[in-house]
Amino acid sequence: MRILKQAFLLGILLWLVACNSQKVTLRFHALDPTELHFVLESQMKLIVDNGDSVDALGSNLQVLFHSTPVVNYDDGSARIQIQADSVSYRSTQRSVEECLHVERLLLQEGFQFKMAQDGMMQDIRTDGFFPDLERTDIDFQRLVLKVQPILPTGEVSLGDTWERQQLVGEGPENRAYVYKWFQLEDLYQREGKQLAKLRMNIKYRLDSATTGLRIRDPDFILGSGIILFNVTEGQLEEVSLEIDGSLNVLSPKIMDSLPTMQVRQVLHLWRSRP
Amino acid sequence: MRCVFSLLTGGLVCAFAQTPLQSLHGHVILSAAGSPYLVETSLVQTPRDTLVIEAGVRVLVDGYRKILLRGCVRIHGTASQPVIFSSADSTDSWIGLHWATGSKAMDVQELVVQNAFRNTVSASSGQMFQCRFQGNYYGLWVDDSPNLRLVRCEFQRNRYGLAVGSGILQISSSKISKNVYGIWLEGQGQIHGLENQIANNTEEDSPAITKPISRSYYSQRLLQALEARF
Repeated sequence: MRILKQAFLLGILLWLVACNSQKVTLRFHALDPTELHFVLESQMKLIVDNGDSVDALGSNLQVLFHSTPVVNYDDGSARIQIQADSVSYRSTQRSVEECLHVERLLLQEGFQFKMAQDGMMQDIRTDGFFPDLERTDIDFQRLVLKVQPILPTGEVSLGDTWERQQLVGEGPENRAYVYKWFQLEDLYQREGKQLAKLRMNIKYRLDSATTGLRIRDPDFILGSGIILFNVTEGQLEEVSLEIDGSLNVLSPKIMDSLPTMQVRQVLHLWRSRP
Repeated sequence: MRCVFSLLTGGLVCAFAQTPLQSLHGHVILSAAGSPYLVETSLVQTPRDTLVIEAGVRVLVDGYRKILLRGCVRIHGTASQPVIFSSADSTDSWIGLHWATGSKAMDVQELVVQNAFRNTVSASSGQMFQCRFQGNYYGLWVDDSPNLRLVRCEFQRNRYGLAVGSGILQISSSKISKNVYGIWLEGQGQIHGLENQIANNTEEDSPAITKPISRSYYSQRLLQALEARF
């Protein structure tokens, strides 16, 4: 009898917890005509141990940019224009002139993509911007795509997880798939808006088909971070992502083989204006 | 009096008139009559396009722009009337010319390129005859172009006069002087050719051709290349 009573109480408790679980639909408001302003910062460290010496690259890139919807589609997706407004770049392995070149190059970068309500970006088009990655320009598009979350198709509750993969870099020399895993960690109100805290883990390889570099071993780059998504407005508020990896690189153009390289990148994106 | 004023004004307008160059699609001919041409946005030529530039043409690039050439290119300047590419504002720089013409014809004669960050030839074949690269950061950067021939060219007042990233470059009877670095060879880049004058550069001249560049330098380039793709 006592066991039955305990089981009954436990059942009621579970039912109450289930009733209390918050469900939410996460959607980008792609059709919202509001111009959004963001800051994207990338801090990078690359270290190669040559045995008798260690070479390292440390760089910091900060781009202020805005996004504007330019075309709306019937399915709720929209074509979005991204334009850099201000760029700051420093690197320990480049001259002042080369850093200035990167800043001026990115400052004129404009690109468009079609974004669905789940955040998937496709059909990327650049206007008058052609980074020369073979000769060390910086790929800003890739950074934006890397931090972009892909939202679930249906309602989700706290603790729910989902996975998606995304193509970053559509050119034949700049193609990579990023596998993204998400978990809804928290839902809360702030200043009258509902915010969702998502965990994002990513995993990808640098493309081995690039002409100048080949990754010798199938090493994956791994990363983890937090996304703050504004459910009320259907927009990103903030993304923090830390990426680590070790690469075995074969570079026939530069030299036959190199020791394992350690890579660490910290990406941080936030809304610069409410 | 009014007539004279009109004539003077008209003459001045003619003297400073610029033809906007907004596209390289199709068969494009730049003639001396339309010169100078003003480029205000980066331009891309597709492999199906042809660009012909006649003697005496001047192309002014306004802003930090790039011209990417992937089709047939014929630039036919003369000693007295060279073809000139430079920034519209002489105190500013532009990105530069990039030839990636593959197997398409590339015939460049008496070309002058000034004030660019980097002029590049990659995976192209053809000839550059009596061309001058002056006051650029990278005068000319060549990659994977063993069938490119530079003849009687000049590289002056660049940070890097001539850089060879990979492959063999054929260069002869050319002059590389008054640069910070005259010749810069990377990785497996090589220079073949005769009667070149490589002198009066601030840093290494001929040693760069024979002396291998340090492993550390390779690492630096590799680090940069990885950063670019990461």
